Amino acid sequence: MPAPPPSAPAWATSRRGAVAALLVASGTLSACDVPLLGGSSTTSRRPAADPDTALVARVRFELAGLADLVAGVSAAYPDLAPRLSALGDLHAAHRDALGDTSTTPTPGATSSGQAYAGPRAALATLRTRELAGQHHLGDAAVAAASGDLARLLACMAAGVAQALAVLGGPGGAA
Amino acid sequence: MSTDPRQAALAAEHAAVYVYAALAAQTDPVADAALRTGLSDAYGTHRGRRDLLTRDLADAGETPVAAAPAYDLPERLGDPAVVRRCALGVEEACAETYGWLVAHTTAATRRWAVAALVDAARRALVFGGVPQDLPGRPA
Repeated sequence: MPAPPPSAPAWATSRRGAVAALLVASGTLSACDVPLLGGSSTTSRRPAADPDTALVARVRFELAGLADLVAGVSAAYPDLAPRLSALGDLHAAHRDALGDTSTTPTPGATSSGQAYAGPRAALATLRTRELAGQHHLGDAAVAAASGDLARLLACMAAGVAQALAVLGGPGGAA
Repeated sequence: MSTDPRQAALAAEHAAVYVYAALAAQTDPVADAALRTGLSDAYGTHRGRRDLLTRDLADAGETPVAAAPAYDLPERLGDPAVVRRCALGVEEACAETYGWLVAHTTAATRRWAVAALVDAARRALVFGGVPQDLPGRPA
């Protein structure tokens, strides 16, 4: 049985409770009920090999690279560190959500030693990489075999979008 | 009852359109210009999604779920702080709904749901939301 859809908030509850009833009722759906749209892994039989293993590994690798980039820019320009700390925390939370408990940079993903033309250029590079990472997370969500993993990856993409909006500049609204 | 998971998203969009129309109508376009602009933008976006879902469901042979006659609104709609909180609640609820839709669809529909989730998360900031690690994930 898949997780039920979000319950309707108070504002979305019609005076007749129609929306709440709808949302609750749709929680009775299962993947088997919706063959045209595919389904969630929560109801599918787990195969011997997890089809998402390689996808998760790729996402972890990219997250490690982004975390290292944030750390590198913060080290190169300490004045930027306070602005970037939330981004570093976000990557750590996302790696944790994917079960990546390593704390060391992934070999080959490190940005150590990368030279920038100044803090503005470093921030621009960071924004560009983060925006690409957000899009890759969205692509990974679409590619995921597991519905639950797809939701997690999509929520991660949304988290990066919020962080970029707060950071400002290209890719962000601020 | 249709089993298409897009019906849940359509129900949420019906509610969002209703609520945003009320919020925008009660917000001073001069004194609270930025808030009014944000509400108007949100209204347009949600109305577009409602219409797209309605059309797509009909094209798929489904009967699109109808809007309720009315939805509960907060009191003191003339208070900008109340309006912001309500709008934030709309976006957070939509983000959660689209996260659910991502989990229960595939391919093009899932990609569209991902985009809607990202948009709702970003729009929540306009109404005073704070960045989260995983916007749209059920608590």
